[in-house]
Formats: sequence, structure tokens, C-alpha cells
Amino acid sequence: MKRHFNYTGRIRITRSEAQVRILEDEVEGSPVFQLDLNIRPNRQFPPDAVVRVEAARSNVSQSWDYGTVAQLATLSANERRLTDVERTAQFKVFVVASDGSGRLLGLADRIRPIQPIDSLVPLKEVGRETLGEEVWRVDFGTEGEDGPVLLVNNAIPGIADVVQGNDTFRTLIMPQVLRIILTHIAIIERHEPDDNEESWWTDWFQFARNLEAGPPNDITWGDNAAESDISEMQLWIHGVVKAFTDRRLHAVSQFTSELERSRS
Amino acid sequence: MRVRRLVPTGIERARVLLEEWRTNERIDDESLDDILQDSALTEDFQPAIEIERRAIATRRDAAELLAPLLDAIERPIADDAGLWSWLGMFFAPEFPPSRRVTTGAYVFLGDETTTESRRAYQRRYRHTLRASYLIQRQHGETAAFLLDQPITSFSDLEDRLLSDFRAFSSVGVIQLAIQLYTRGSSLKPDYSRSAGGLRHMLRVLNQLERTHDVYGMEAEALMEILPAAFDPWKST
Repeated sequence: MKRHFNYTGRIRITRSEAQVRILEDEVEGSPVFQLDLNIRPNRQFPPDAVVRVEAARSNVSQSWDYGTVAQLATLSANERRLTDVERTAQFKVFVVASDGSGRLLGLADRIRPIQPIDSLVPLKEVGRETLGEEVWRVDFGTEGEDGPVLLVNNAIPGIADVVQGNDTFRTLIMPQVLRIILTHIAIIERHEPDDNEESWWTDWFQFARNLEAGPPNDITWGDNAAESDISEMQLWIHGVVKAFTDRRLHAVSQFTSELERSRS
Repeated sequence: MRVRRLVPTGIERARVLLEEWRTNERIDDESLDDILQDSALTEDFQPAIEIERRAIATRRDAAELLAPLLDAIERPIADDAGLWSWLGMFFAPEFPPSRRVTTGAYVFLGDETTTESRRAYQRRYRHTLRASYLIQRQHGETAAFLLDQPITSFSDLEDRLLSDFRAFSSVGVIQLAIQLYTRGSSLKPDYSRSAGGLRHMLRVLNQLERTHDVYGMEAEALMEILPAAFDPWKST
């Protein structure tokens, strides 16, 4: 068994204590992050210890002073915009002694932000007995009442991190995940965008509206849809996926950057 | 002229032009402007920005020219190869490219001596306009020494600090390096490879990162935690 010795005195803050989420809506054209910092009380950091947050990607970074452990700063969405780094930047949270010495008391390292689509399609690691040699699959369950889950094959070490943070994987897979889910909602299950009930699929129609690719009103949805309506739904789904790849995923440029990085 | 982005074929064409320029020591301005506005070699850049050629002697000149134009762009542009390549070529007549391309600052994004994307990407920090703009944006007057250098200057100080993005993004580390290794407008002799020199400092900072928030600290606090090997540089 591999053993680690910590001689630094620094406390490792876990990912469950420091989560970063990229919000659905951009502000003035820039993505906005949200930090959920819930440091366990048993960490026993001094209340006046300083919290600093850093996002870095490629050779640029952005940094935010986030107040103290006892009183985290409340930054506006405008202040939390990612203007210098990409939305896929990795984050770090530093907890630093307040005496100006710069002494590091705690660190959350390599935090990959949760992208908006991920909050709608939870990730579930399963084994080969479910997926065999498949890497991923969108699963709607037997009843279809709980919404889609992205099953990933845990025979691949670190697969959850790859799905949530690896741009190459995401640019290739997430558009297809979105296409499968929208097809299931609109064409297979025949759900309607103006359903008033609070259902999981209404979140996906809203997701499309947030991309300014909301479902068109001039087609018949649901069980009464004709062949021509189904064709229109397919066109709508293509449009939503295109908006997602163009505006949120920036798929081609991200994929190109990743290829360049992987060659370096 | 309206700012555009060079597309990959435009960058290739511009590289050929630059090579001819190095060989012949002259450039055909009309050919350059044709490339910069050719719709097959360039594409629109949004938001629309008008730019004029102007003499650029120092990084400060470049930063002061670019900041009002680029600061309003609400998205990351540091790695926009098409934009920086277009800007590099647009201002190229103001600082004709050095023949010593292996050591000089580059006009193009990354390494303009190669079309290999991997190497060009790694060395994009050498793009002289990009470096000027980012120094001004991230450090302002605390990096006055770097801003006041000639636009084509590229010493080991610049190479080490610009290529190490964590060092470059830290106000304290940049200030520390300037305080330790410069005097007035000059670099101190033997500042780079000596004991306690710049390269030594960057190695030590990496080690200190285990116990200190190195890249978030102020220069004075960093000075306090440097080992004794650096003392001679503090006092000279």
C-alpha cells in the first residue's frame, strides 16, 4: 500500500468541501463561477485565515480574494466572471495565515468546475457488468420518472474526472448526450414544452430556452404530433445541439486547443 | 484599418512574407495590407475595432496602444492565435523582424520559425505585443521595468518570467524578481544562472509552494522566506 507523509502541516481540503460550478447564464458575455465552500469544522482553521481562489488554464490565470474562513466574501456575479481564463480552467482554493507570512494552512487543488449541463444529467459510475466495453451510456431508468443519468464505466480509472473536466471527451460526447436526451423527451416520450407540471424534462426545455433555442410554438408536440412535426422536432434538436456546441462548449475551438496541447 | 483574425492559411501566407522580409530586408507594404484584409486569409473579429499603425519603441508603447482597444473584450483573448498573429503582422513594419529568430521576440503567435503547432503553441509567450499587453494588464506599474524595455528586447528575465505562467500571474513574484535582479533600468550582472539568481529563485519558489501561498504573496513577504543564498542579491 502506498503511504503518504504530510510534513508540511498543510491541510488538504477535499473536493466535497470546495465545489466550483459554472452557472447556466453568462454575464456580459463571460461565464460566471460559483464557489460552494463548506469547510468541515474539524479542520480548525483560524477564523481570520484568508481565503484566496485561483483559476488557471493554459498560461493565464485569474485570482479572487474571498474574505476569511469565518466570513467569506460575497462577490457579485459580475465579480465572479471568468474574463481571463476559459470556463474549463482548474480552480484552487488557498487558506492562508492572516499574519502576512503567506503560510499555507490548507489547499484544495485541481478543482474541475461542474459545467451547467452536468447539473442536469448526474454522473453514475457503474462496472463492466452493466456497460461491458462501452465507455458511457445515457440511462433513463425503467420508469423514466427520475430523469437521465450518464452512466460511465468505472473500469476506466478516473473516468468521472475525465467526463467532468476533459475537454476532448466533453467536446465529443456531451453534444451526443444532449441529442439523446432531447430525442427521448420530445420524440420517444412525446413530452410537451408547455407542460405545467414540475418534471425533469421541463428543465431541459428551459436549458434550450437559455441557449435561445427554445422549442418552436408552431408545431404540434405530444401524442398528436404528425410526421411533419417529428421532422421539425429533429430540426429543433439539431438547433439546440448546435447552439450548445457554439455558445457553451465552443466545441471546435476547444477540441483544436486540446489536440494542440496533447501534441505538446 | 479594422482588426481581423488571420485564419491558418493566412498565418501560413504571412510566414512566407516574413521569411522573404528577413532575407531581403524589405517588405512590400501593399502585399502585407492585402494579406491583412483578404477574406480568404482572414476573418471578421468581433467586436469591431479600428486600429492605426503607430511607431512602437517600448512595450509600454504597445500596451498603451492596445489596452484601450482590447480591454473592452469580454472574453479571454490571450490564446487567440488568429488575433495576435494579425496584430503582429499589422505592426510588423514598426519593428522589422530580427534575423536572430532563435532568441528574439516574435511577431507571430508562438515560434515564428516553425509551422509545427506544438512548438508554436509552447512559445506563444514570446509574442511581443501579447506579452506587452498582458504585462500591463496583469501588473501595471509594478512591472515598469519590463514595460520600459524596447519592444524587441527578450532577456532571460523575460523568458523565464513570461514562460512560467504561475510566476507571471503573480504580482509578488514579478516584483520580487525585478527588485532582486535589476538596478535602475538595467539587469544586474550574472543575474540569471548564479547562486541566488533568477533560475535558482524560480526553483526555490516551487519548493516553497508546499508550505506557502507563494503566488499570492507580496514581494516583501516572499523576500522574508527566501534562503540565505539570496541575501547578496537583496543588498546590491
